[in-house]
Amino acid sequence: MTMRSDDPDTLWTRLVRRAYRTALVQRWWAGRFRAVPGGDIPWTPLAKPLERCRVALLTTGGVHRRDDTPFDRSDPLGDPSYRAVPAESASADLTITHDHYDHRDADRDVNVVLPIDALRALLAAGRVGGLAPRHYSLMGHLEGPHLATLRERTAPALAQRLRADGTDVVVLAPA
Amino acid sequence: MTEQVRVPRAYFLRYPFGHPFGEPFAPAQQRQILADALGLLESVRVPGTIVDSPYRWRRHTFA
Repeated sequence: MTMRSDDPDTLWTRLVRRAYRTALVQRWWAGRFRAVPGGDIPWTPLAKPLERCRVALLTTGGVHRRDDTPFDRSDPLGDPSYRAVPAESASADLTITHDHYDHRDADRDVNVVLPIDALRALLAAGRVGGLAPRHYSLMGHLEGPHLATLRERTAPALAQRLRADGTDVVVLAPA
Repeated sequence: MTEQVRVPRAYFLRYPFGHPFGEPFAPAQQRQILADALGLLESVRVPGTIVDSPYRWRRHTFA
């Protein structure tokens, strides 16, 4: 996949994107990473066999449907909103908006960050009971005030939607 | 990083960042990693457990 011609690309975003392809920048970013401190580790035991669970996927890889609003790349602190990805989406329906990781492989095959086809294969094999109606995506690399927005608004809203979707299990994939 | 996030169960792959399910156009690999991760729901009993995957980037043959 290449950049669309109407893409709001600037020299700066091109530089950032290029920089995140280098091992040095990736190491710097990983070493600088600090999670927002939480309380106890949350724990929900599996309530029924996996073969009867409805599964959703959630990635921070900036995935969204091509016809959906892209994540905002103009804010250097990131975009704390989320996108829903209908479970029946074909991988060709999806694209990635994210300047802070190397997603050239995921651009070619979205299953690298959001394994929708792999999950469908596990469903066909009977390993999981069903697909939740929607998967979800965030754009990682949030800083400053967006961290509070993620914690206080986006994450609770996502949890509520996952519950409303009847989702039993969510697989989180960082990217 | 995974330790800091403190998720209930985590499957750790020593893969390049941006490849949580492996290589592109490798459906057997992607499916295996997803199945392994889901399997932690059955096998992990202690909150915060991080399980290391046995796979090496581009060195493992997935059936």
